Amino acid sequence: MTQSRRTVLTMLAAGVGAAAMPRLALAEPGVTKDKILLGSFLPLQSGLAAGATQMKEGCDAYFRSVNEAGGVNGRKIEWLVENDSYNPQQTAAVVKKLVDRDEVFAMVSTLGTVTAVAVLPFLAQRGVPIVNPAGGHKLLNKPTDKNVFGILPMSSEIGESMAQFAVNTLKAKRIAIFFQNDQFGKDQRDGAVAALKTLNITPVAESSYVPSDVDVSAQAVALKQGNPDVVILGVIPKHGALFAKEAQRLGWKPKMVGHNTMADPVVLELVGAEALEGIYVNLMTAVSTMDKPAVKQANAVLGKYYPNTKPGYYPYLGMAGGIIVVEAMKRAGSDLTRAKLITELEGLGHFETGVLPPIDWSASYHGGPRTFGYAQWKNGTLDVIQGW
Amino acid sequence: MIPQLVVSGLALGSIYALLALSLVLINKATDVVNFAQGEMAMVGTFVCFTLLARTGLPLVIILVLAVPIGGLIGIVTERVTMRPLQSAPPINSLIATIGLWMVFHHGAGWIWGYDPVRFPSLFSPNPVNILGARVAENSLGIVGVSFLVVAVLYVFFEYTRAGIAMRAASMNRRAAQLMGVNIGRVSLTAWGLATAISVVSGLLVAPLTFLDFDIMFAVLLKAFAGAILGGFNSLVGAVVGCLVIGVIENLFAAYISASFKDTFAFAIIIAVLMVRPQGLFTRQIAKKV
Repeated sequence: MTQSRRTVLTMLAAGVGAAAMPRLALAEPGVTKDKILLGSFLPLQSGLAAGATQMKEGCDAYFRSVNEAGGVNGRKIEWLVENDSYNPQQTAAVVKKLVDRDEVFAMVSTLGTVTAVAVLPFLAQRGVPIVNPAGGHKLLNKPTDKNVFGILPMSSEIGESMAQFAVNTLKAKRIAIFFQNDQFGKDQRDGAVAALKTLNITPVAESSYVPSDVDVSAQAVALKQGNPDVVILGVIPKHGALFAKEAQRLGWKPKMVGHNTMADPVVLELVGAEALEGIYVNLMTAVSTMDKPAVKQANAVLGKYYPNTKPGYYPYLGMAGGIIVVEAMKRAGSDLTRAKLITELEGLGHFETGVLPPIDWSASYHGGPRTFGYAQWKNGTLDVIQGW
Repeated sequence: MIPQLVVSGLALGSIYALLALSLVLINKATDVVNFAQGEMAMVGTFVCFTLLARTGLPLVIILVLAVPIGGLIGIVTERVTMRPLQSAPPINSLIATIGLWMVFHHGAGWIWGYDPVRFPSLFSPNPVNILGARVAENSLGIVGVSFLVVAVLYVFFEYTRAGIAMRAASMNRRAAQLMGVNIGRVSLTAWGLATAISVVSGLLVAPLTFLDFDIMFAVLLKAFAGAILGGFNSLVGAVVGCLVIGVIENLFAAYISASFKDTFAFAIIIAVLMVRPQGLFTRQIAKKV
């Protein structure tokens, strides 16, 4: 009995030792002599699938262009993307796989709020850096975790900015708000209402929709009753397009200020130039028509690897994560570790990706940009009226 | 404001109505509740969209082709998945239709992508003025087509042999079979016909709401609600039920709360089911035990 127990114990100890061996032998997870393994989880099969696919293509195009130019300090980037169907349970499973089995070095350009928030504790515990978890939550956009780096503003800050733009630039007195009835839209609505309150303005009308709605005619009629000068749109492309079409049908022409999603080329395709004419768009990513070398470069890279994908919000967003992580990895030198990556990300300071307003990271701030641009739809193209 | 809301509510309701007609049709003939109806309509509409983009045929021809395309989708689905379940307990076919829902839903996303696309309309985009309300011509088209379909189906069920056979099969499958009704053909006809109608509805809905893989989900829920309100066995009832839902939903969204309009629509259904479980338009059938 004693004998056999000792044997079992010895065997167990040997087993544990053997399992630990390869880990000890590796310098850093995901980094080999000629390869850096990065990961991401994206809702490639869900209502957000269109955006997720474009985000993936934007980031992937950039990595491929970097690889073609020789990689990062002699190492080629390999980016493993897993689908999580926008389901946090699935995210937990795929992230565990990416971190423990595939041993990715870092996570880059993920999409989804609840899904990312669900895996933050796990990533923090394993010390895996995550750059550009796109979503709308303060844990993602104003992160306090050492390993999390957000590149998007808070939705409420976008709402605030749109309200200030309506009042200060468009000189609006009567403001109405049309928003998506979930955290994405409600945070924008709350931010706008709070900003208006400091200016002593109360919205004259508010109305909302849910993403499954096929028709927003009642909402448009209700807002029209309030007779606003400006309508603030906290919407996704499809429903923003439906609203613009509905307003056109009613022969109603208020000024409109919309979330960055209203700059998505798909909106133009859906409703046409006439319905969009004059609509202002808040910019937290570049628009493809911007006359900047970085934007032209980004369009060229995307066009080379994904010629069927139009440059816009999601491709730029995905690409921005790639640009940042590549820059920080280059600066970290050939002896790449997670700790070094984090130090270099914090050391980027005021950094221009060109496709996003500049980030401003430091050891104490890992959050998104605090500046916005504005553009206006004119004859089917976006005319940038305020850069960052 | 009220005329505008009522008229656009009626237009919305008739979108639901066309799909509800397909649901009732299949249920009447085969006793199956087809949860995949909306997705089958969506897939058919995408097929038409591809045809339109590839061949450049006039939209009118595509609309005519939608009938055989839909019919084919319905017939294939019936033969492959529903026929083998014909003598299994009803719950099996119910689960099968939910499975079909997923197959069509995700299959469409896989094939055609997840971005909404613009679908051209047969009608002019300029609104028409009716009683001071501005209505899209397309909406009027949908109302017209809904009524036409009801009329045709009414004649079919009341006055043709195939229609009467369908009703008989639905009332008592075994007795109908003994009287010489070919149950298999009845089921095949119902699925083909219903899917043809729903693809036509897809072609009419798509220009209004844009075409994407999600287009029919909300429509299906409301179509169910409307059909239940009407009794789920009555074609006219389904149409009226859907129109009622469309109008109530619109008025509620504008005057009370847009966030709770769906909840309110379903609360009404529950209330109706409690007071009049057979729906508003069907006579209660007493069963001897």
